[in-house]
Amino acid sequence: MKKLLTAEEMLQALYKCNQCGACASVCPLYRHTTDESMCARGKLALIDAVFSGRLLPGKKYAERLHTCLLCRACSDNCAGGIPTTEIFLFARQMLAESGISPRSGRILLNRFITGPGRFSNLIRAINLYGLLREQRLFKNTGLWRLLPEYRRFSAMRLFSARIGRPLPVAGGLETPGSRGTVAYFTGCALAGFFPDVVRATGRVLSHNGWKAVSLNNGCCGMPHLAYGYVEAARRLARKNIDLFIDQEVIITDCATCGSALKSYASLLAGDSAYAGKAAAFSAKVRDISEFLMETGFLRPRSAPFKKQTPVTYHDPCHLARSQGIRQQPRTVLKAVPGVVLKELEGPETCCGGSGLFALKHPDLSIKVGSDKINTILSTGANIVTSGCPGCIMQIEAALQMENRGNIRVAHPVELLAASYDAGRETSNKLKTD
Amino acid sequence: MITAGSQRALSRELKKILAPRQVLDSMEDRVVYAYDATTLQFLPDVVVKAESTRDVSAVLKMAGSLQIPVVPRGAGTGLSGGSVPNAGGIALVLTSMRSIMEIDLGNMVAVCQPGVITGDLKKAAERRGLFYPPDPSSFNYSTIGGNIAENAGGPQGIKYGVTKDYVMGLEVVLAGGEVVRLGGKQVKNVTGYNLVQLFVGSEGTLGVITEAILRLIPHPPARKTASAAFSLLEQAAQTVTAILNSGIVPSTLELMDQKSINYVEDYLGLGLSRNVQAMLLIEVDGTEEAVAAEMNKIARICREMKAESFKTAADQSEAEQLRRARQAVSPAISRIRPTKIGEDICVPRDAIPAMVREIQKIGERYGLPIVIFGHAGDGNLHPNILTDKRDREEMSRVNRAIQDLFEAAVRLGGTLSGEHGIGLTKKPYLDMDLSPAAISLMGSIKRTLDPLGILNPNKIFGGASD
Repeated sequence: MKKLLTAEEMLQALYKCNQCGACASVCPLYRHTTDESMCARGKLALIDAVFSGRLLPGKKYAERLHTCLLCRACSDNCAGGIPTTEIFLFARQMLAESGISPRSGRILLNRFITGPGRFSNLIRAINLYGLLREQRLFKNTGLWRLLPEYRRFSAMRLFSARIGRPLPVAGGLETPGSRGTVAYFTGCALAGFFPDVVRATGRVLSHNGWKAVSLNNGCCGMPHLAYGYVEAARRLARKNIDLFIDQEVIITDCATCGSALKSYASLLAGDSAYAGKAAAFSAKVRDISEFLMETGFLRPRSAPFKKQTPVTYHDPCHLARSQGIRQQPRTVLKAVPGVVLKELEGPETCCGGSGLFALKHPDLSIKVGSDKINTILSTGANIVTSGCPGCIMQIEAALQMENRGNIRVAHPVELLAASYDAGRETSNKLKTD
Repeated sequence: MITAGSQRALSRELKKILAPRQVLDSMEDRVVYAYDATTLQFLPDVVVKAESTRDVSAVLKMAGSLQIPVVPRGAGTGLSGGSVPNAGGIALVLTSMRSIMEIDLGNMVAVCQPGVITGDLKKAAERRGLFYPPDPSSFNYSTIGGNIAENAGGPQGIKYGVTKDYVMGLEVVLAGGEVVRLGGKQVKNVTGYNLVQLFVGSEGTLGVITEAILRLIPHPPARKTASAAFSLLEQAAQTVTAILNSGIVPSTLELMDQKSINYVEDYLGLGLSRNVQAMLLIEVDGTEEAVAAEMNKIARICREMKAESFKTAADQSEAEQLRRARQAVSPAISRIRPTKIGEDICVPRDAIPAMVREIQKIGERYGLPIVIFGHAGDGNLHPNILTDKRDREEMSRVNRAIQDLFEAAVRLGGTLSGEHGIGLTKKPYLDMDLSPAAISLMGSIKRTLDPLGILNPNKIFGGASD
């Protein structure tokens, strides 16, 4: 999230759209549907129609507004520099405040993810789900192949959790270290679905001398923002800000959490009590790859693989476009001996995951995901990496759909951690083909 | 527009001949197919997404029997209002018909549906060592069908011609629903009238294009790019003429004035020199030897014409930078003021310096910022007026400026539109350029092909616009 717009700013920005239509050339959803209401121009036209009174906001309007990856390809490519994504979010906020929002979002976000206590329960619930034997059976026997295509895809998304031991302290991590202390922000998706990634982050931090602490944090608020529940997001933000007030650095290994946390400054800019604290908070947030580059990290000398392995990297929208973090994860990957980094064609093109989008619109999600898989296959890589659990789940599921489950999907820290481990001669070697 | 009751009835009737998913009648659907890139907006009564020639034919038959207007539409990115449904009716969207049916290597021909994005066709041809030259600046998002209906141009027009030069055959659905195939893959064809060319540039008023057979050429093996800077806009304009008279046919010869250079620098920071009054982007293509010789000759000419600087791109990425600069003019200037009105006049080549002077005078006369850039090599300039359509007083000056621009162009032997089309925006000025006899002849052709007047009515002809 870049900057929350005021109504005045939004109307001015809306007016700037001269409807050239260039956004259609970069919108993944438009490319797959040729539905004008998918591209930014169409969405802005709908929003303009509502705000000028020509259209009453109803279910159809809400549906179109919410069928969007929020990937920012449009705003990045807009000649007029229009903050399209911010305008969409503003419109979603208006919808949420008038009660016209997708019901699933309302229930999930206003009832279940409201504070740290409920949040850690959510993570536990995801962990337990991951451990369900039924889930493992379903996946391993291949029964899922009997489902119709879209259902299969949704199933694969949910089953892409890597079953690992749940993390101890409120889902977070704690490591010893003498170089300094960093606070780790626990995100639901990694701690819930991929606890081993969190452990990898922990090993990387500790190997580089950092003492990591976990505080019992609440949800970063991104889903709330995406659904337009800005006040709920602000409540979560204040709680998180107060919790981390004494910390100097806040580390996250989730692109989405990082993007949300960095947007707290803008989210609370109008709050006289919290504006300063929010700005200070956001300034302390670092993605793990960003942190490693800024503070320097030990270059590993052992390869985690038996031979040279082609590895590719997918830029999460929330890391590349939202935070401008592109080089850092690549540098981390290139530092791992044995990694031959291959660039994807269109590495920043959205994978189609987009948080809850894949569950709500599996048909569109699968099409966008399939394009990403084609670019991955073209590189001949054995491992795809990405710094966002949403992307990891999406790519894994999409690979399974095309029977390419042999290609591993990992977070860049996992390769670095495995490399450190190999150096320490532990048995954590990653398997490759 | 028809009444709400009639809209519902129309929608019901259409769902009898098409799948329900193809008939979009909610307000939300209609709003997004009401505009094009001119920001003119008129709601259609219903939107139909055609998926086949049969769909188009069935819709036209029904529309004819009900006397409802049909406005064919590609990506809706036109610059003259051609695809805007100003008389309501059915917005017939062709973007779902987007298959490149064939790239015939033996005959060097592409066969494709109207909804294919021009950029996709270009890429498909290039993958096979072939070249589809027409490159309107919107080619990454505009459609072949739309390009054909408007006879779109582009920077490479100076050497390679425009869309009409590549259309060898068409499948067209006429106003009564009849499907006609014209032309074909043959290189030469004088069997019957040359009706293919009648439909090219007809802006959806004579028939709906449902298939195109397009000529491809071998991809040139080499290309060189250069830029020349001048301390006087007039010098740059004269250099254009000098290059063309030297016997070289560059593949690109584009002009950018000082304002456009500065706005592009503000937008992209490519390192262009801000102080020069004009810049030419010059490209030549062909064999390595020819390209090297021609570029040397061009460099000499520019020096003789007192260019302040002349730079040849050392490699692909530098060439890309220069091309980006030119492509970025339109986007760069759209950030400056809320409304950008781009004109498209085309004068004979030897009148380019005079036309440039006229444009500057008009800007001064009305106190309006006018940015000048365009395809100087074919006399097709894009004077862009940066304004705010909410300012009534300024808009009245803008309208007078546009009138003067057209008058000047015609006086210098030129025409109102080189590539954008007449559509809605240039209707009021048609008689400045076409004689009454010409307009009458065009009208009789229109009446013959569309007796009920349902195909994109109120476009091109009729004088003062809505």
